Amino acid sequence: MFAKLGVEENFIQEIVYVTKINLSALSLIKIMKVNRLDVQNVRSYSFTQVEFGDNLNILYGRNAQGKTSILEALALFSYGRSPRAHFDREVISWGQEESRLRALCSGLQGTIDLAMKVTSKGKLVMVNRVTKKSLSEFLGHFYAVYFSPDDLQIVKGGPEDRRKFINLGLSQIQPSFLQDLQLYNHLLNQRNRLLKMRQPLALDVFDEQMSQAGARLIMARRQFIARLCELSAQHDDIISEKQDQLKIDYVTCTEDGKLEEIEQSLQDSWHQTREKDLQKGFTTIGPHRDDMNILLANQRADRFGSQGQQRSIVLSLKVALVDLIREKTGEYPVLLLDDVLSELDPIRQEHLVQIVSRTQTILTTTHPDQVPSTLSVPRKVFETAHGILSVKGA
Amino acid sequence: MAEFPAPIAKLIEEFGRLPGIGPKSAQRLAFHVVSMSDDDVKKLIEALLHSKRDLVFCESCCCVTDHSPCFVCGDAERDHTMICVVQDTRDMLALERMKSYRGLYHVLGGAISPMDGIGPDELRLTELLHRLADDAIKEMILATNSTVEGEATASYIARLAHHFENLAVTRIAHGLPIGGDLEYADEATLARALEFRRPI
Ligand SMILES: [Zn+2]
Repeated sequence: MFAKLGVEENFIQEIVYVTKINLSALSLIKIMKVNRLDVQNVRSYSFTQVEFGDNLNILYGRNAQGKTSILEALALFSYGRSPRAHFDREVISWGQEESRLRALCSGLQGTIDLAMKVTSKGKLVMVNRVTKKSLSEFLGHFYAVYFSPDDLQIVKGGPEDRRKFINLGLSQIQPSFLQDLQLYNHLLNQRNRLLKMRQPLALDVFDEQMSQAGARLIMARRQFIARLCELSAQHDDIISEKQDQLKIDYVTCTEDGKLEEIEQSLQDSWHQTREKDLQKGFTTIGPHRDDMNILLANQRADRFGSQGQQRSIVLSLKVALVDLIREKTGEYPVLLLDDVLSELDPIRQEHLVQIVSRTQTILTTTHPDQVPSTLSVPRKVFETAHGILSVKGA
Repeated sequence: MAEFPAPIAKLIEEFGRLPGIGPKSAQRLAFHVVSMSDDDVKKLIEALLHSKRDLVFCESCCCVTDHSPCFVCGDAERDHTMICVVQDTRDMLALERMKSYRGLYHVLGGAISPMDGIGPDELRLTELLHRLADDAIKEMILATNSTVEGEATASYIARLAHHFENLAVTRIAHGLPIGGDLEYADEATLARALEFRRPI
């Protein structure tokens, strides 16, 4: 009973906040939840079933005992791929042929049964026991934001780390984005092979199709980054000093414009670089080289930011992503926090705590004492040891 | 795990090379063959050999046929001013089954897919251009699949066909599911696709 009340309270606070922005959204804001997860042959788990609590779920245990695998399994349902593995097959337990995962979720669309089979050849996905042909039909049923210490790469790493952040974020709120991304990458592979075959007329027809998919990617990314930047500004207390304003610029190969203008501009760029591309044997320009510039007080955060500032930026981006998902879908995503609380100082911990109290959160930690005492929402505690997960208290 | 006896292992390997046959299906097929009567095995061998020995490419449309010219090209009753370009013989037969198209075909033998090593030179395009050079042909319908490769192939051919001033070039309407193969489209969908073709 108490647990229910906690959620309702937050729910009402949220409505008051939202009313200022959009009255029609009043009845729509909900909290996405995962009620149960079943995994079979996933990393160190041969079989396990987890019934999550509605609010805060704490998974504790020493390192390499399988805490993170549970978060990874959940992230697979929202991102369609593992945020920590290069290839999905890495999640399959050693010596096994396939992994099976199932999540029962509830949200605006009611109760949803999501299932996935991962084999060395690929994935099979099901929604309410119906097999879906593509991942884009599977995504958009379970929203989650995964946050781990590795996310520091969004600031410190290369353009591919930042593209991954953008692509994973966009794929779950806009499944057509994933479709365009897959289409673009497929065309890009074809084009690169064609460059090696030296077939200029055939290049023209691939460029045409590729510019259409590419322009849609650029439009979606531009809007996504602009909104993310605005939303992160609403949490400017995450970045300590006021003058340290966070700014995120989208870096791409074309000017802003209408869809057709971007298409044309892409085709023109590929025409101009064709000689160079033919020499190199691959496509040197296009949205597959996109990046974002993260600036703190007008200086590049990857070069000039301190480790603490970089962590704050990542937190700021993740919090903005939570807001963005809520804005686009009407639902608070599930928060998956992989051992990040201990890395944050008390002020930033407190900020995260405020968001945790509004969502269903599943967090991992080496010791349950590391969870701040200010976090007063109902909690369910699990211990992980040797690939076995057991409930320690609620 | 115990090894398969060599003759079965060989059979499994050969079945496994066929399209759409995974290791498990290959094993099932191999063990099925072992359980067949000698007579049935002979029939299967005969069928395999005949299919290879007795089939040729049509000298005109390049379809796979048992005699050249094929039953379409050799039919004087058909409309010889119209040519429908498809990826393979199965697509041509799918269109034939709906019995409403009365023109000729041209079978490309695939679609441009550089990743599979198929560039324009690997398709029957020279043969197509030779046929188009013949003034009798007034309309060309591009009925390649609605996949990325099928679309690229259609645009490519449309560009090549610009040189023929009196030729109308159309693309079948895609009431076909995106990424769909002609072969799997039902007859009603196919008929609609052909009826609502558009200039390209
Ligand atoms: Zn023929």
